[in-house]
Amino acid sequence: MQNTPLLDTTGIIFMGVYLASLILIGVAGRFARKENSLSDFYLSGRGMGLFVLFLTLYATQYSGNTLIGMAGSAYRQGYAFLVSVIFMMSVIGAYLIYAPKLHNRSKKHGYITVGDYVQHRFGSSVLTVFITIVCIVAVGSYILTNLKAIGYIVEVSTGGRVTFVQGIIALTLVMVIYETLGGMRSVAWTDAIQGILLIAGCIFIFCGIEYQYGGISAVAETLAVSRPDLWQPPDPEQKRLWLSTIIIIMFGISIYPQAIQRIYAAKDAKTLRRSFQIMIFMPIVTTFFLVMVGIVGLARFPGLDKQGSEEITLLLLNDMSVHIPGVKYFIILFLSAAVAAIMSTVDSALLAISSLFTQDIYKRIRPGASQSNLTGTGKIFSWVLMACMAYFAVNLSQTIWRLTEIKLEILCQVAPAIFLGLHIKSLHSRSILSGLSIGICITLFIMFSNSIGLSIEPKPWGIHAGVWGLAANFLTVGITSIYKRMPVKC
Amino acid sequence: MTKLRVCLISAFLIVASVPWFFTEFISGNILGFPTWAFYSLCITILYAIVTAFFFQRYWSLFADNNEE
Repeated sequence: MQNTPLLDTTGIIFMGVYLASLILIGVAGRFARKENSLSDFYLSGRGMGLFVLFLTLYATQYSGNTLIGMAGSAYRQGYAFLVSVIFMMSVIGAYLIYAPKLHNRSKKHGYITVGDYVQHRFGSSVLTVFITIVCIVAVGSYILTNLKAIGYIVEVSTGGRVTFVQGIIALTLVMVIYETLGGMRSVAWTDAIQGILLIAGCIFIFCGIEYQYGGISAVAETLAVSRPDLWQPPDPEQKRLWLSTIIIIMFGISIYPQAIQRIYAAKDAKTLRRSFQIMIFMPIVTTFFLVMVGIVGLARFPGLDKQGSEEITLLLLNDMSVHIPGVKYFIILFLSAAVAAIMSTVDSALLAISSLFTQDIYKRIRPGASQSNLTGTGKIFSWVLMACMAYFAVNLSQTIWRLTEIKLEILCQVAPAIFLGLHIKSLHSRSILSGLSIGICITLFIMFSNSIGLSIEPKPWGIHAGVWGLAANFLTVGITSIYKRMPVKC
Repeated sequence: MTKLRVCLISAFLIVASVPWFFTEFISGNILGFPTWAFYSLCITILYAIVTAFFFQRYWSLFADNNEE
C-alpha cells in the first residue's frame, strides 16, 4: 500500500465538495417529496424518467469493484477475463425474461419490494419471509464488502491522512444522511452524478492508455513473448468455469432487490425498455475498457503480486502523469469515480434492505401502521443497519468474510420464484420453497464440505456450487410441479 | 416467435461466447487479441445487438398478461 497520497489538496477539496453536494441533493430530494408514503420514499413515486433511470441502473450495477477489481482481475487472468463483458451483458438479457411482466404487475398491484410480488403471486408468508431473509443476507454482505473497499480507497488516496476507519465512518454518514432525507429520489439523483463520473472515468482511462501506450495492439507482441500462457485457449475446466460464471452472475445480479426496485420505479414500460436497451451496451464502455487497462498494465508493469495488481489502474495513471501534464486531474476524476461507484452501490443496497425489512417483516408485525410510521421506521432501520455494517466492516474476522463470497450463489436460488413464477400460472409455493431449500442446502454443502472433513472441490468440475444448487433447484421445482399435476388414484 | 425461442436464442449465444472449439494455440493475433478471445468478443457484441433487438421487438410478448 502506498503512503504517498494520491490526492493533493486540490483533490481532497474536490472530493469534499462532491460529498457535500450529495447531502444537498438529499435535501433537494426531501423537498421534492410528494407524499410521506413507502411508494414515494422507496420508489420515487413510481415516476422515474429515462435519464435518471438509466444512470441509476448503471451506477447500481457497477460498483467500485468495476474500476479497481476488474482491471486487477484482467491483470491476473489476462484475456480470459473477457468473460466479464458478457456476464455483465447477460444480466440485462435476464431482465427481458421477467422485467416486462413484473413492471406491469407492480403498477397494477402497488408492489414496493420483491416480497410483495412473492406474497401476491404465491400467497405464502413462509416463502415470502424466507426469500426476504435470503435477500437481506445477500445484499447485506454486498454492503460489507463495498464498505471495506471504500475505506481502503480513502486511506490510499489520502496517504493515510484519513484512516480506513475514518473513511468508512465518514462516507457511511454521508450516505445514510442523503438517503434518509430523500429516499429513492436522492439515491437516484446521486446515482445519476455517480454514473456520469463512472462513465467519464472509464472513457478517460481507456483513451489515456491508448494515447500513452498504444493500447491493446501495441502490447500484444510484448505479451506474446513475456506471457505466452495468456495466448493459450482456456482448458476444458476453465471453459466450464467461464460458462458457470456467466450463469451465476446472470441469475444472481439480475434479481438484486435494488434492481427490482428500479423496475418498479420506472415511469412506464417504454422508459424501462429503453433503459435496458442502452444498458446492454454499457459493458463495452465500462467492463471491456477496464479489462484492456488491466492487460496493458500487465505489459507495462509485469510481476505484480495480487495486492499490487489491484492497484494497476492507479499505477498506470501515475505513470501517465509523468508524461502527460494534466493527467493528475484524471487521477482525481478516477478516485472520485471509484468512490462514487461504491457509494451508488451501497446506497441502493441500503434502500433495498430497508424496504425489505419495513414492508416484508415490520409491516407483518404491525399491520395497522400508517405510511408515515412505516417510512419513519425504515429510516431508523437504515441508521441502525449502517452503524452495524460500518462496525463489521472494520472488525469482522477474516473467516466470516468467507460468507460474503457466497452472496450471489445463495441469492440466485431465488431466481425460479421470479423467472418461472411470472410465466407459469400453475406453479405452487411449495414447489418454489422446496427448490429454494434444496438449492441453498446443496450450495452450502459444497462450499463448506471441507470444514466437515469431506474433500469436495469448491467448484466441482469447474462449476460453481451455486450453479449446482440452482440446477437442483430448477429440477426440484419441475419434479414437484409435475408430481402435483399427476392424478391421485383412489 | 415464442418466449421459449427468444430464451433459447439468447442462451445459445451465451453458450457460444465460450471458445469451446479453440483447443490449440494459434499464432498471431487479431487486433491485438488471441484468435479465441477475438471470437468470444465478436459473439459478445452479437449478443448485445440481438438482445437490444429482442427488447425492441418482443417486450410485449414477455409482458403479456396471459399466463401459460
